Amino acid sequence: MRIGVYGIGNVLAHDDAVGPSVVRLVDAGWQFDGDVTVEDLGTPAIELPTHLAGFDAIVLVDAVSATLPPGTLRIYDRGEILKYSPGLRVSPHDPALRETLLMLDLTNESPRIVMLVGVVPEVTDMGIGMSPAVTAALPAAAEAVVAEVAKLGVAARRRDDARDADLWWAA
Amino acid sequence: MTKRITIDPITRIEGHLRIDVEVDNNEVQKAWASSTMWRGIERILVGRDPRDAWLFTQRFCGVCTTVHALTSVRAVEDALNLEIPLNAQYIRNLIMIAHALHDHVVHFYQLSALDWVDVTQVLKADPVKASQIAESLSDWPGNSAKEMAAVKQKIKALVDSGQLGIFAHGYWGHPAMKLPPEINLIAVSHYLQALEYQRYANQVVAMLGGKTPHIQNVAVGGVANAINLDSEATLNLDRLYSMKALLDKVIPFVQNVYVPDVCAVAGLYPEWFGYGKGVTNYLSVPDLPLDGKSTKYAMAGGYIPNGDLAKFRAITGQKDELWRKGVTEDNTHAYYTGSGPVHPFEGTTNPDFTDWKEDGKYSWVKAPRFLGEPAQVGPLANVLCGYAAGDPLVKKWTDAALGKISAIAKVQATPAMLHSTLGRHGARAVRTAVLSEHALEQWQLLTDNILKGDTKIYNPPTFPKGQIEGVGFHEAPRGALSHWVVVDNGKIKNYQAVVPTTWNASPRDKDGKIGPYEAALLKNPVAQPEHPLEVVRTIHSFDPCMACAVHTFDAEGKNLARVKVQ
Repeated sequence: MRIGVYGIGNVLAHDDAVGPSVVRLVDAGWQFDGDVTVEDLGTPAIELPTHLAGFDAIVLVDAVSATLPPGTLRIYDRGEILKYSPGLRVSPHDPALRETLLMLDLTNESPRIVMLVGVVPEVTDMGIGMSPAVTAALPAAAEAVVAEVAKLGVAARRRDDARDADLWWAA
Repeated sequence: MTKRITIDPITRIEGHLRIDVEVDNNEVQKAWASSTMWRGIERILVGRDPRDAWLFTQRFCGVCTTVHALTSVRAVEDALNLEIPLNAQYIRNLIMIAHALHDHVVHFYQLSALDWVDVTQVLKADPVKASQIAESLSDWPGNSAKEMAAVKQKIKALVDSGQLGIFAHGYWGHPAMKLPPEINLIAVSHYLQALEYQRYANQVVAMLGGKTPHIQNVAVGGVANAINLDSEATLNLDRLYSMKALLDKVIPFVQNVYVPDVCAVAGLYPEWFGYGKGVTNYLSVPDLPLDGKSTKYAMAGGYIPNGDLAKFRAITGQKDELWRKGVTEDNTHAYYTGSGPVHPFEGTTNPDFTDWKEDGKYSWVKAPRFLGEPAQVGPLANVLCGYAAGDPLVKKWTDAALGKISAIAKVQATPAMLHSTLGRHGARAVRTAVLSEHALEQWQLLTDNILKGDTKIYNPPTFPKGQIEGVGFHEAPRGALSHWVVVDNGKIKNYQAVVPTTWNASPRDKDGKIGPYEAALLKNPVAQPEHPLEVVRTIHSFDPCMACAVHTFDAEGKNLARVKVQ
């Protein structure tokens, strides 16, 4: 089973850095026994299909806007992600997750399992550094990602050589 | 009480594009382009090490990543007058080309073809006839009647299921949709094939760049791709040939599918050569440097005033005074302090928000000007400058495309028709074909240089005491991109990015001169104000890097429709 674990977000837009930060924490702290690609995809936009096509399962971490307090974790499955159909086609860009999955459905390359670990942000304008609420949620979000991978039948172990996550933009 | 929760990953684009148009007699009379989001990203860079700037700049924006990495290192190298090894130049060139091939193919098929192609009409198409038409346009092997029938079946299954999926919301049945069913079928089948082929181009970027979308292999002074023909872990002949194999798949798709498809669509909507002209001052920068000092380029750039190719002035490089002194930005109608023209080295990005004011400030985009005038950038500018400069590849592909369009439209297509909405699509296809030839050339240059025994990839930079300034430019998929950096005692003192979409989405300037989007929308038809497909067609032809929210007002200013992108 090919699994992709991806963090998505703009690291220069305050709490939108949560996705990249969480996958970097996962990569620094855990190792997986199966075929698992862990990557900070940043802002993939039209390159997202390349990273999803042909995978069996995807675990994504992203900031999600929801009417919940900042730092709240919520996990969405494929069905929930696709619940709302895409909006009227005005913007040619930012084909987001939903559009990418639907596009790959056409070529039968869409991952069967897609889990989104969402973190509710507080500030998402341009600037470096996450809010205290989102910063506090990072370890739990990383654990949630590892738990989602484990549910796919792939064991995760804490690294013996665990290192600090490379959050270079915040240095 | 039910609580509504919206799953809406925060949009991560550079800013939202808002278009306001006033429509009277089904025609656009006035237009405003504005961005509704502040991008004060340049300020993040002040005080940082110039060697790290590229890591940050390629995270600027959710649409263009790679281009900002490459342009940033060019700017710092320009400030240092730092020569880079030939291998580094060729590797960067290959990344740029592969990135552009990917970007242009995706722009046409996935992002804008459905402005012209009605997916629901596919159900009426005759697959055999569609196959015959497609085979008359090119010898691409993926045009068989069997292939067309399979695609028709796929779309029929979608429609029958009641779930149109990715095609759920389009302008289906809109009166401005005019392609015959068979052409719609051909386009949809190539839409599906493009999903596969664009990925090969993306893989070339990943092979050289380490990963996509944020490449990891560049450095001020060169690249970090170790070259050793005897090592598995480095750039070696195996890798070079795997890269070539990927290019050998993408190139025929560009030349035998993308180019003919654009010509067919253009030939069947000939009236759209009459709309979307707008600003006809064209600016393009030379690219694909061929020497370590970036004095010779494989692709020409320059400036064309008033659409007059005879008045073309070449830009010879980043040091060329015409270029270096020609660029200014004006904040009169942008939400920043300041007003009249300022050179990017002195540029500031201090917010001064006033709400949307028709006659005042109305956009977060500054108004870039070249020699004091608004200028259109992008593939059309690139192709026209190449044509005016006498570039044989540009001439070959432009003439071929015009010939194909003439045959389909049964009118004589001329270069003058390119100043239009369809001209921008046509020019993008021409540029992609030209780049596809450069891909093999740059691959050959790199391979030959390595086989000669040159493995050098990096010249370390040293920063002098005191102040230096530099500009890096790149002819990016959306047009001329430039980064302007001032370095003081080895730290960034000022950084300004003048990006293609700010040229094209420019608001008015101090003299009230309108920008390219604004000008291109004038006299555009709008058949149904609540479904402003024609406005979208013209804006998409520029390939905007921002999500686009379109507002349509009737002459009384009543808001008829608001189409907001998440």
